[in-house]
Amino acid sequence: MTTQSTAQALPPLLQNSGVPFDLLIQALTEQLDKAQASMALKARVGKLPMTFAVKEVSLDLRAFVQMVNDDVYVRPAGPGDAGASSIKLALTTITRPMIEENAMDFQAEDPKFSLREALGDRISEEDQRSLERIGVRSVRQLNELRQAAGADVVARLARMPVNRLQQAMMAAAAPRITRVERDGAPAASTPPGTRTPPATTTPPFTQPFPKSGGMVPTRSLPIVPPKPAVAATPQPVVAPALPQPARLHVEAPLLRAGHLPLIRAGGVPVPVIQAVDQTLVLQPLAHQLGTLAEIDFGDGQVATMRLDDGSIGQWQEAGE
Amino acid sequence: MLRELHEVVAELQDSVAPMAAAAAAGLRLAAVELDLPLDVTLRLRAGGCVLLADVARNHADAQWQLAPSRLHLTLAATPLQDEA
Repeated sequence: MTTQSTAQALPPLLQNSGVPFDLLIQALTEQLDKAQASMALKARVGKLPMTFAVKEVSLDLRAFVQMVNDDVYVRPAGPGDAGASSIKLALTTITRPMIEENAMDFQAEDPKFSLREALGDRISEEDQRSLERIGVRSVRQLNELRQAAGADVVARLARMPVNRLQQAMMAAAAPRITRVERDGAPAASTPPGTRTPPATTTPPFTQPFPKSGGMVPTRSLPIVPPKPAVAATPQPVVAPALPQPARLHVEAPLLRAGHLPLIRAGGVPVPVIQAVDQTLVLQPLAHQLGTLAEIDFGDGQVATMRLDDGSIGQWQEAGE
Repeated sequence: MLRELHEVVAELQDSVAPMAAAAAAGLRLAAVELDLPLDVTLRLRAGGCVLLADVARNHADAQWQLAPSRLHLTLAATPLQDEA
């Protein structure tokens, strides 16, 4: 019956290979969480002085283990299955600090700097999976690994060809704008589109015609505009909103201590107001915002990058 | 008929829960260890994977497993704090 019901519930791949191992663990822990929750509820309702709580659970699972696309799949043994492996899963209660100590860092990564998004076509899905298998999910992690271990070691761990990894690392090391910081707009100016035109108290200038309807003399006394009926109150002069200075935070993994890269946009140097670790803070001139900038890190490493939020630099080929 | 594993665990816990009342009569059970054969299967349901299982009760519903999986469960007596 198990085989029949399983066959109805699982697609062919899962019938043959089972489910990914992490899915099995997830299903198991979900069941134990539900068991704990129902026991806690019963203890609260029963108002007993003591209860029996689950201290340890272990499952000696008879199953078949298979590798599918580098993932471990597990299929529990069914009736008549011989030669199944034995997987011992022991689960115990752990505290929140223990979870945080042992879990990977889920620090919010900007999705636009994920490997796929940042490297685009320069990394294949297969290479991306290879890197993810060793825990590299973002360009930041790839850059950290490049500095800590070097391309050779990483290539061996990820089982990737060194040249492909070097290409990916070079692409990941391109400068990128992570944040654009703008000062608050001054009080005099309001955001475009919300500004209301100043109330006009002066009527439009009109040439006074004689009420008799005669011809207007071609030469007459200087025309004096009529005085308005109501005295105009002085209006504050609303200056057009000037573009506010923007500070661009640039992540530049190739930034070296004591060596500031040369940055030019529109033929003019882009002011660098801060360079800490691997982050540059630029304060481009108004006309430089949104234009292509050239960043020269020295040693022939030159990248072009648009001075815009989320922009990712492109390395220039040697000889360009 | 296999059930969700949490139902099985809850039923096993229910079976020893009356022993908690026995503490008042001077008998205190510190822990219970269970080691049981278990039929296990996985089923996709409601967008997730559900672990179905049950203890083998007799030959009729033991699924003729050549070597069934086993569940080791340790239930420890735990005093309940008075929340009041």
